[in-house]
Amino acid sequence: MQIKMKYSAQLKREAGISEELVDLQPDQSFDHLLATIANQHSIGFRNVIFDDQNSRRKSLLIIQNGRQVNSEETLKLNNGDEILLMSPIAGG
Amino acid sequence: MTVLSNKEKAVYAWQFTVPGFGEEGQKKLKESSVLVSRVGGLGSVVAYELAAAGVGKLVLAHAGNVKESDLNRQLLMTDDWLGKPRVASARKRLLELNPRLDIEIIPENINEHNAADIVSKSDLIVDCAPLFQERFLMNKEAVNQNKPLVDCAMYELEAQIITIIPGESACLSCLYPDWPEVWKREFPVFGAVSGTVACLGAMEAIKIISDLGEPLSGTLLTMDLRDMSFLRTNIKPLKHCPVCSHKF
Repeated sequence: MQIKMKYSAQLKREAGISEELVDLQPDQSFDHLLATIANQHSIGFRNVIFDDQNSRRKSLLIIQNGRQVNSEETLKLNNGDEILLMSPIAGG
Repeated sequence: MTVLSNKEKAVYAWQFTVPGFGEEGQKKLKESSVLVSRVGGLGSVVAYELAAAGVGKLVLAHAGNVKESDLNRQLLMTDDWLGKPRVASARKRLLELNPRLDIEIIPENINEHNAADIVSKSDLIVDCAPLFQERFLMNKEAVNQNKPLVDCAMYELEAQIITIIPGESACLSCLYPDWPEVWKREFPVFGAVSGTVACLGAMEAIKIISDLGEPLSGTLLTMDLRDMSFLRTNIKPLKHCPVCSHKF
Protein backbone atom coordinates (compact mmCIF):
# COMPACT_ATOMS: atom_id res chain seq x y z
CA MET A 1 0.00 0.00 0.00
CA GLN A 2 1.03 3.59 -0.45
CA ILE A 3 0.83 6.26 2.26
CA LYS A 4 1.20 9.98 1.74
CA MET A 5 3.18 11.49 4.60
CA LYS A 6 3.07 15.19 5.44
CA TYR A 7 5.29 16.96 7.97
CA SER A 8 5.07 20.25 9.84
CA ALA A 9 7.35 22.51 11.88
CA GLN A 10 10.53 20.83 13.17
CA LEU A 11 9.79 17.61 11.32
CA LYS A 12 9.51 19.46 8.04
CA ARG A 13 12.70 21.34 8.75
CA GLU A 14 14.61 18.15 9.61
CA ALA A 15 13.24 16.25 6.61
CA GLY A 16 13.82 19.12 4.22
CA ILE A 17 10.53 18.24 2.55
CA SER A 18 6.91 18.77 3.49
CA GLU A 19 5.53 15.53 2.08
CA GLU A 20 6.51 12.20 0.53
CA LEU A 21 5.01 8.90 -0.55
CA VAL A 22 5.92 5.76 1.38
CA ASP A 23 5.35 2.23 0.09
CA LEU A 24 4.50 -0.48 2.62
CA GLN A 25 3.33 -4.08 2.55
CA PRO A 26 -0.45 -4.37 3.06
CA ASP A 27 -0.19 -5.74 6.58
CA GLN A 28 2.48 -3.38 7.87
CA SER A 29 1.67 -1.24 10.91
CA PHE A 30 1.81 2.43 11.73
CA ASP A 31 4.82 1.78 13.97
CA HIS A 32 6.56 0.20 10.99
CA LEU A 33 5.71 3.27 8.93
CA LEU A 34 7.27 5.56 11.55
CA ALA A 35 10.39 3.41 11.73
CA THR A 36 10.64 3.48 7.94
CA ILE A 37 10.52 7.24 7.66
CA ALA A 38 12.82 7.67 10.66
CA ASN A 39 15.43 5.58 8.87
CA GLN A 40 15.10 7.68 5.72
CA HIS A 41 15.81 11.02 7.40
CA SER A 42 18.21 12.69 9.85
CA ILE A 43 18.79 11.79 13.48
CA GLY A 44 17.06 15.06 14.34
CA PHE A 45 13.97 13.84 12.50
CA ARG A 46 14.07 10.55 14.40
CA ASN A 47 14.43 12.39 17.71
CA VAL A 48 11.23 14.32 17.12
CA ILE A 49 9.34 11.06 16.63
CA PHE A 50 11.03 8.69 19.08
CA ASP A 51 12.44 9.16 22.58
CA ASP A 52 15.66 7.65 23.95
CA GLN A 53 13.88 4.34 24.61
CA ASN A 54 12.73 4.27 20.98
CA SER A 55 9.12 4.81 22.02
CA ARG A 56 6.91 7.08 19.97
CA ARG A 57 6.56 10.48 21.60
CA LYS A 58 2.99 11.21 22.67
CA SER A 59 3.52 14.90 21.99
CA LEU A 60 3.65 14.11 18.29
CA LEU A 61 0.29 15.06 16.79
CA ILE A 62 -1.01 12.52 14.29
CA ILE A 63 -3.71 13.40 11.79
CA GLN A 64 -5.03 10.59 9.59
CA ASN A 65 -7.10 11.79 6.65
CA GLY A 66 -8.00 14.96 8.53
CA ARG A 67 -8.89 13.22 11.80
CA GLN A 68 -6.72 13.31 14.91
CA VAL A 69 -5.58 9.94 16.24
CA ASN A 70 -4.70 10.57 19.87
CA SER A 71 -2.48 8.62 22.24
CA GLU A 72 -5.41 6.53 23.54
CA GLU A 73 -6.27 5.27 20.05
CA THR A 74 -4.72 2.80 17.63
CA LEU A 75 -4.07 3.87 14.07
CA LYS A 76 -4.81 1.29 11.37
CA LEU A 77 -3.33 2.11 7.99
CA ASN A 78 -5.20 1.85 4.72
CA ASN A 79 -3.92 2.19 1.17
CA GLY A 80 -4.05 5.82 0.09
CA ASP A 81 -4.06 7.26 3.60
CA GLU A 82 -2.71 10.74 4.17
CA ILE A 83 -0.90 11.03 7.50
CA LEU A 84 0.13 14.42 8.82
CA LEU A 85 2.73 14.45 11.61
CA MET A 86 2.91 17.68 13.58
CA SER A 87 5.73 18.30 15.99
CA PRO A 88 4.89 20.37 19.08
CA ILE A 89 5.44 24.11 18.87
CA ALA A 90 5.31 26.78 21.55
CA GLY A 91 6.92 29.83 20.06
CA GLY A 92 6.06 32.93 22.01
CA MET B 1 -24.08 48.50 35.65
CA THR B 2 -21.32 49.30 33.20
CA VAL B 3 -21.77 52.54 31.29
CA LEU B 4 -19.79 53.61 28.26
CA SER B 5 -18.57 57.19 28.26
CA ASN B 6 -19.05 59.46 25.28
CA LYS B 7 -15.33 59.10 24.60
CA GLU B 8 -15.61 55.30 24.58
CA LYS B 9 -18.64 55.42 22.33
CA ALA B 10 -16.67 57.55 19.90
CA VAL B 11 -13.55 55.37 19.98
CA TYR B 12 -15.41 52.08 19.53
CA ALA B 13 -18.11 53.30 17.16
CA TRP B 14 -16.91 51.15 14.29
CA GLN B 15 -17.19 48.01 16.43
CA PHE B 16 -20.76 48.71 17.52
CA THR B 17 -22.01 47.98 14.04
CA VAL B 18 -20.60 44.45 13.98
CA PRO B 19 -23.65 42.16 13.98
CA GLY B 20 -23.93 40.29 17.27
CA PHE B 21 -21.60 42.68 19.10
CA GLY B 22 -23.05 46.17 19.54
CA GLU B 23 -22.88 48.31 22.66
CA GLU B 24 -23.58 45.32 24.87
CA GLY B 25 -20.52 43.54 23.53
CA GLN B 26 -18.45 46.62 24.20
CA LYS B 27 -19.66 46.73 27.79
CA LYS B 28 -18.65 43.09 28.24
CA LEU B 29 -15.17 43.90 26.98
CA LYS B 30 -14.94 46.85 29.34
CA GLU B 31 -15.92 44.64 32.29
CA SER B 32 -13.40 41.96 31.41
CA SER B 33 -9.82 41.24 32.38
CA VAL B 34 -7.34 39.24 30.31
CA LEU B 35 -3.99 37.75 31.27
CA VAL B 36 -1.37 37.82 28.52
CA SER B 37 1.78 35.87 29.24
CA ARG B 38 4.31 36.70 27.91
CA VAL B 39 4.26 39.96 25.90
CA GLY B 40 6.82 38.92 23.29
CA GLY B 41 6.17 38.29 19.61
CA LEU B 42 2.72 36.88 20.27
CA GLY B 43 1.74 38.65 23.46
CA SER B 44 2.69 42.14 22.29
CA VAL B 45 0.22 41.97 19.45
CA VAL B 46 -2.46 40.20 21.50
CA ALA B 47 -2.23 42.90 24.16
CA TYR B 48 -2.21 45.71 21.59
CA GLU B 49 -5.33 44.40 19.83
CA LEU B 50 -7.16 43.88 23.12
CA ALA B 51 -6.20 47.36 24.27
CA ALA B 52 -7.46 48.79 21.00
CA ALA B 53 -10.70 46.82 21.25
CA GLY B 54 -11.46 48.19 24.72
CA VAL B 55 -10.82 45.35 27.14
CA GLY B 56 -11.09 46.80 30.64
CA LYS B 57 -8.00 45.32 32.24
CA LEU B 58 -4.87 43.60 31.01
CA VAL B 59 -2.57 41.58 33.25
CA LEU B 60 0.84 41.31 31.60
CA ALA B 61 3.42 38.85 32.90
CA HIS B 62 6.92 38.83 31.44
CA ALA B 63 10.36 38.88 33.03
CA GLY B 64 13.50 40.49 31.73
CA ASN B 65 14.66 43.52 29.83
CA VAL B 66 14.29 44.47 26.19
CA LYS B 67 17.03 43.01 23.95
CA GLU B 68 17.93 43.86 20.39
CA SER B 69 16.83 40.41 19.23
CA ASP B 70 13.31 41.14 20.54
CA LEU B 71 12.70 43.97 18.13
CA ASN B 72 11.84 41.99 14.99
CA ARG B 73 8.56 40.81 16.53
CA GLN B 74 7.91 42.16 20.04
CA LEU B 75 5.97 45.18 18.88
CA LEU B 76 5.47 46.73 22.30
CA MET B 77 9.24 47.00 22.72
CA THR B 78 11.14 49.92 21.25
CA ASP B 79 14.76 50.66 20.48
CA ASP B 80 14.89 53.44 23.06
CA TRP B 81 13.86 50.93 25.75
CA LEU B 82 16.78 48.51 25.26
CA GLY B 83 18.01 47.23 28.60
CA LYS B 84 14.86 48.30 30.45
CA PRO B 85 12.00 46.04 31.66
CA ARG B 86 9.79 44.60 28.93
CA VAL B 87 6.55 44.95 30.89
CA ALA B 88 7.23 48.65 31.52
CA SER B 89 7.72 49.20 27.79
CA ALA B 90 4.52 47.28 27.10
CA ARG B 91 2.57 49.33 29.63
CA LYS B 92 3.89 52.61 28.22
CA ARG B 93 2.94 51.80 24.64
CA LEU B 94 -0.47 50.37 25.51
CA LEU B 95 -1.40 53.48 27.48
CA GLU B 96 -0.37 55.66 24.55
CA LEU B 97 -2.98 53.79 22.54
CA ASN B 98 -5.62 53.51 25.24
CA PRO B 99 -5.16 55.68 28.34
CA ARG B 100 -8.41 54.31 29.82
CA LEU B 101 -6.92 50.84 30.10
CA ASP B 102 -6.25 49.31 33.52
CA ILE B 103 -2.92 47.47 33.29
CA GLU B 104 -1.27 45.32 35.91
CA ILE B 105 2.30 44.47 35.06
CA ILE B 106 4.11 41.53 36.61
CA PRO B 107 7.85 41.39 35.84
CA GLU B 108 7.90 37.60 36.14
CA ASN B 109 7.32 34.66 33.87
CA ILE B 110 4.78 32.06 34.90
CA ASN B 111 6.24 29.48 37.29
CA GLU B 112 4.92 26.88 39.71
CA HIS B 113 4.92 29.39 42.56
CA ASN B 114 3.02 32.23 40.90
CA ALA B 115 0.80 30.50 38.31
CA ALA B 116 -2.33 30.10 40.46
CA ASP B 117 -2.21 33.67 41.70
CA ILE B 118 -1.52 35.26 38.31
CA VAL B 119 -4.22 33.23 36.55
CA SER B 120 -6.70 34.21 39.28
CA LYS B 121 -6.31 37.89 38.36
CA SER B 122 -8.17 37.61 35.05
CA ASP B 123 -11.31 36.23 33.40
CA LEU B 124 -9.46 34.75 30.42
CA ILE B 125 -5.89 33.76 29.59
CA VAL B 126 -4.03 34.15 26.33
CA ASP B 127 -1.03 31.86 26.47
CA CYS B 128 1.86 33.38 24.55
CA ALA B 129 4.77 31.76 26.38
CA PRO B 130 7.76 30.28 24.55
CA LEU B 131 8.27 27.41 26.99
CA PHE B 132 6.06 24.41 27.64
CA GLN B 133 6.71 24.67 31.38
CA GLU B 134 4.77 27.93 31.44
CA ARG B 135 2.13 26.69 29.01
CA PHE B 136 1.33 23.58 31.02
CA LEU B 137 1.14 25.58 34.25
CA MET B 138 -1.29 28.08 32.75
CA ASN B 139 -3.33 25.26 31.24
CA LYS B 140 -3.60 23.47 34.57
CA GLU B 141 -4.60 26.62 36.43
CA ALA B 142 -7.07 27.66 33.75
CA VAL B 143 -8.77 24.26 34.00
CA ASN B 144 -8.74 24.32 37.81
CA GLN B 145 -10.16 27.85 37.90
CA ASN B 146 -12.65 27.23 35.07
CA LYS B 147 -11.27 29.96 32.86
CA PRO B 148 -11.01 29.90 29.09
CA LEU B 149 -7.51 29.81 27.67
CA VAL B 150 -6.43 30.72 24.16
CA ASP B 151 -3.16 29.01 23.24
CA CYS B 152 -1.13 30.54 20.41
CA ALA B 153 2.16 29.21 19.06
CA MET B 154 4.42 29.60 16.05
CA TYR B 155 7.52 28.20 14.45
CA GLU B 156 9.24 29.57 11.35
CA LEU B 157 6.37 30.40 8.95
CA GLU B 158 3.93 28.06 10.67
CA ALA B 159 1.56 28.85 13.51
CA GLN B 160 -1.31 27.31 15.43
CA ILE B 161 -4.06 28.30 17.82
CA ILE B 162 -6.52 26.40 19.97
CA THR B 163 -9.07 27.59 22.49
CA ILE B 164 -9.58 25.62 25.66
CA ILE B 165 -12.91 25.85 27.46
CA PRO B 166 -12.66 23.75 30.66
CA GLY B 167 -15.26 20.99 30.76
CA GLU B 168 -16.14 21.54 27.11
CA SER B 169 -13.02 20.93 25.07
CA ALA B 170 -9.63 19.24 25.14
CA CYS B 171 -6.90 20.97 27.13
CA LEU B 172 -3.22 21.45 26.35
CA SER B 173 -2.34 18.23 28.18
CA CYS B 174 -4.77 16.36 25.92
CA LEU B 175 -2.97 17.85 22.94
CA TYR B 176 0.49 17.08 24.33
CA PRO B 177 0.21 14.21 26.85
CA ASP B 178 3.95 13.97 27.44
CA TRP B 179 6.71 16.49 27.76
CA PRO B 180 7.62 17.95 24.33
CA GLU B 181 11.33 17.86 25.10
CA VAL B 182 12.24 18.33 21.44
CA TRP B 183 11.06 21.94 21.60
CA LYS B 184 13.93 24.41 21.73
CA ARG B 185 13.82 27.83 23.39
CA GLU B 186 15.16 29.63 20.32
CA PHE B 187 13.33 29.12 17.07
CA PRO B 188 13.15 30.76 13.67
CA VAL B 189 10.32 33.23 13.22
CA PHE B 190 9.19 36.40 11.50
CA GLY B 191 7.27 39.03 13.42
CA ALA B 192 4.56 38.92 10.79
CA VAL B 193 3.99 35.24 11.61
CA SER B 194 3.65 35.79 15.36
CA GLY B 195 1.53 38.85 14.62
CA THR B 196 -0.81 36.85 12.40
CA VAL B 197 -1.61 34.21 14.98
CA ALA B 198 -1.63 36.84 17.74
CA CYS B 199 -4.44 38.72 15.96
CA LEU B 200 -6.36 35.46 15.77
CA GLY B 201 -5.75 34.94 19.49
CA ALA B 202 -7.00 38.42 20.31
CA MET B 203 -10.09 37.78 18.18
CA GLU B 204 -10.75 34.54 20.04
CA ALA B 205 -10.56 36.42 23.34
CA ILE B 206 -12.93 39.13 22.09
CA LYS B 207 -15.39 36.49 20.83
CA ILE B 208 -15.42 34.54 24.09
CA ILE B 209 -15.82 37.64 26.24
CA SER B 210 -18.59 39.14 24.14
CA ASP B 211 -20.38 35.90 23.14
CA LEU B 212 -19.66 36.62 19.49
CA GLY B 213 -19.38 33.92 16.84
CA GLU B 214 -17.88 30.49 17.51
CA PRO B 215 -14.54 30.16 19.26
CA LEU B 216 -12.06 27.44 18.29
CA SER B 217 -13.12 25.37 21.29
CA GLY B 218 -11.53 21.94 20.82
CA THR B 219 -10.40 22.84 17.32
CA LEU B 220 -6.74 23.24 16.45
CA LEU B 221 -6.25 25.74 13.65
CA THR B 222 -2.86 25.35 12.00
CA MET B 223 -1.45 27.49 9.26
CA ASP B 224 1.59 27.53 7.01
CA LEU B 225 2.19 31.03 5.72
CA ARG B 226 4.67 29.78 3.11
CA ASP B 227 1.73 28.71 0.98
CA MET B 228 -1.11 30.25 3.03
CA SER B 229 -2.63 26.86 3.80
CA PHE B 230 -4.94 26.57 6.80
CA LEU B 231 -6.19 23.40 8.46
CA ARG B 232 -8.80 22.82 11.17
CA THR B 233 -8.52 19.63 13.22
CA ASN B 234 -10.88 18.52 15.96
CA ILE B 235 -8.88 17.60 19.09
CA LYS B 236 -10.59 15.07 21.34
CA PRO B 237 -10.25 15.26 25.13
CA LEU B 238 -8.22 12.36 26.50
CA LYS B 239 -10.28 10.03 28.68
CA HIS B 240 -7.40 9.81 31.11
CA CYS B 241 -6.05 13.34 30.93
CA PRO B 242 -4.49 14.08 34.35
CA VAL B 243 -5.48 17.75 34.07
CA CYS B 244 -9.00 17.95 32.66
CA SER B 245 -10.68 14.51 32.59
CA HIS B 246 -12.44 15.21 35.91
CA LYS B 247 -14.29 18.07 34.22
CA PHE B 248 -16.19 15.77 31.85
